Amino acid sequence: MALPTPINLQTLNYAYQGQPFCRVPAKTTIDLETMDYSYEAQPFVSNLISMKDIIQSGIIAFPR
Amino acid sequence: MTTFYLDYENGDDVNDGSDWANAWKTITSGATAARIAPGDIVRIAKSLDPTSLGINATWNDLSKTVTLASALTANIDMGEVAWTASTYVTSTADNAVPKEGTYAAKHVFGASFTTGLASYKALGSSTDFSAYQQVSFWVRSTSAVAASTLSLRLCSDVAGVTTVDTIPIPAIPATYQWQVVTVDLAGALGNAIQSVALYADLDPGTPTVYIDNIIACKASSSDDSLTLSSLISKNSAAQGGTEGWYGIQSINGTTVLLDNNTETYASAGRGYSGTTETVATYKRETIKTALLGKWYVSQKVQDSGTLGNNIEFQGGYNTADSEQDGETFFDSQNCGPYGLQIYEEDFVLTNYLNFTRCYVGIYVYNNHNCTISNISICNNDYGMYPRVTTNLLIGTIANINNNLYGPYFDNSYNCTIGTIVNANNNINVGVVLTYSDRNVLNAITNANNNGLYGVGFYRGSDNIIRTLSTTGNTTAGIYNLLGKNYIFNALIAEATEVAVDSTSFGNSRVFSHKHDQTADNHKIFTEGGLISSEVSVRHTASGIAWKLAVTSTNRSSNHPLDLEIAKIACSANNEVTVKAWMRKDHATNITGKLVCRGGQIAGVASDVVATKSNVADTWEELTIQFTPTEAGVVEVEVWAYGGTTNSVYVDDMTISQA
Repeated sequence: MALPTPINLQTLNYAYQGQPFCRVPAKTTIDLETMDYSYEAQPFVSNLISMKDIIQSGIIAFPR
Repeated sequence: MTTFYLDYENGDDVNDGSDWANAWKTITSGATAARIAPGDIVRIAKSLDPTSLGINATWNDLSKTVTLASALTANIDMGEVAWTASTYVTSTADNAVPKEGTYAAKHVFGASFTTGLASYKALGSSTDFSAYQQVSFWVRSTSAVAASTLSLRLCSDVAGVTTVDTIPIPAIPATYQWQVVTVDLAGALGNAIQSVALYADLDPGTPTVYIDNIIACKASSSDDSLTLSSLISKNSAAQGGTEGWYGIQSINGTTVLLDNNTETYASAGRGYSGTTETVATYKRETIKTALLGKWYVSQKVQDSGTLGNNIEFQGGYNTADSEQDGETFFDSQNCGPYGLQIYEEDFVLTNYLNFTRCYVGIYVYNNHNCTISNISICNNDYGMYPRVTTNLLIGTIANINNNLYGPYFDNSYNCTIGTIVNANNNINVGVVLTYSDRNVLNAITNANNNGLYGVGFYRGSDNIIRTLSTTGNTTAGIYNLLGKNYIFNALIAEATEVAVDSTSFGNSRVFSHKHDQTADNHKIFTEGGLISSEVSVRHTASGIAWKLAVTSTNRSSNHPLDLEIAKIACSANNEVTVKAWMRKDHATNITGKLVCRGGQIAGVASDVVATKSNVADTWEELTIQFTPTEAGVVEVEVWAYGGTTNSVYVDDMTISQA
């Protein structure tokens, strides 16, 4: 399975621990890599840390 | 960092434990806190290696019957017919608690009886037992009986008068509990025996004594000297091996029945699970520990190690060359004490140290950072019982079979279990986690043929099993009572894969990722419904959709079957739009909703809900919109409720913010 982008996470095709995995920014300007967001008192980063490397490698374009 | 030596059968606790010649006898009184220190290793002499019975036996999957190619023992009395009692003794054939057949020989001693012949049973003909040197049987009493109080006699007359062989009955410390006894007379038994008799050599008081399955067995030096005290297996390995060891419930000619925990009667027992075949069969003899009543402690660790300096108790040592080439099986003979207690001692390590026919094989209480590995445990009430224990590291449990429960984690946290192989044939549950959280079990290979479940989660959460296989468990592969637990790569063969408590309304979950070890196959087991990934009914004909199947009317608008489908990071003061394609398979019997619960974020105080229209089998894009007044993250869910046979589907979301 190819690595997801935040857009195709919305297909609900990805799962983590047996559950749907869809953790995305609502606006393209929201930068989850800053760790400025939290949910239930925990950092909310989704998978963007790993995406960052992919984006920086130029393999795919990431909508920001 | 000293190495000590412990030999239960040949050691003495007054020794200094410096070598095998000066070995201690017990962990409790040999390896005292004054003698051992962090970093020390206690090498423990192995029990005898397995020997081949020299014949094949037929083992049957899910059966407790092992059929020998030929008998290795001779029956003396099976308790099926009442013995003839002396005055003040009442003897009957009792069917309440037999270990073999339908009846056990029951003897009620009256207060007026003192000593002498209590009861006898004519064998029906003169029998030559001279090929045998041991007598093995089960005994059970309603009150404790001291050693040398009772004896069995093999007699040359038909009325138990003329004694040829005297078999002293050891102490019976446990009440209402069958105790296995094997007495080695170290010489040939009589060659013309006509009766077996029960004698009181001292006044026993007024116990009721049950005796069953009295058999003559070969000399203990013979490789094929199978007795009721032996363990039997397909396993020929002195150390390890994939086949478990089994305590014996009864032997009658060529029929050997496999036992379970300490109070398993002839009509009960889970038997064997594995390959049905006729193969070479082996037995191994255990180290019989001192006879103690139920809940006493046979051996107890006396000191803690420190970080990086465990105190190690290593079983399986060959006293001839000090190689760890076997295993040590300690045997409480069904009386029911704890086999080994590691009680409030930290940084203790054990390996190749096994316990059988105990109340608890290994009891680990209020310990932290202990390590247990390479154990093979059978026929206890609880195979292993970590309680109020954290950071327990369990390497390999080779076999933990035919107990009442296998490993039983109680109020234990952050334990790491490497591999459990063959948590099989336990009367109730193969592996239990009760009130226990955040334990990681890397692999459970075979939690099979248990009386209830292969794995039971009871009020624990965040436990993880990374690989699991179960089959043949009577009620279900897994049970979950409250809590949210995770399994990966599970092969669950039972018709009911996961049973969940249906009355608690606790929304418990077992999340099964890569269910059936299949990609894109995920299941969430919960009460009143099943949520699963879906590849047949999808909005987009690729990847997966998610199906929420409602199975109980307990699921209602107040307690919907709910599935988190997204967590969304939002900025402040801009409208968020969440769309998802939804579908249901009945127009009115089931309700489907897309929901952002109120109260998650400022500005969204009430639930924001869109409801699937009452049209069956049609995809419809539902939309909810809300405007948070602070930046943050919200969760969006799908709900389903109504009826017991219908489902809601969800696929393809679109999430945006103005």
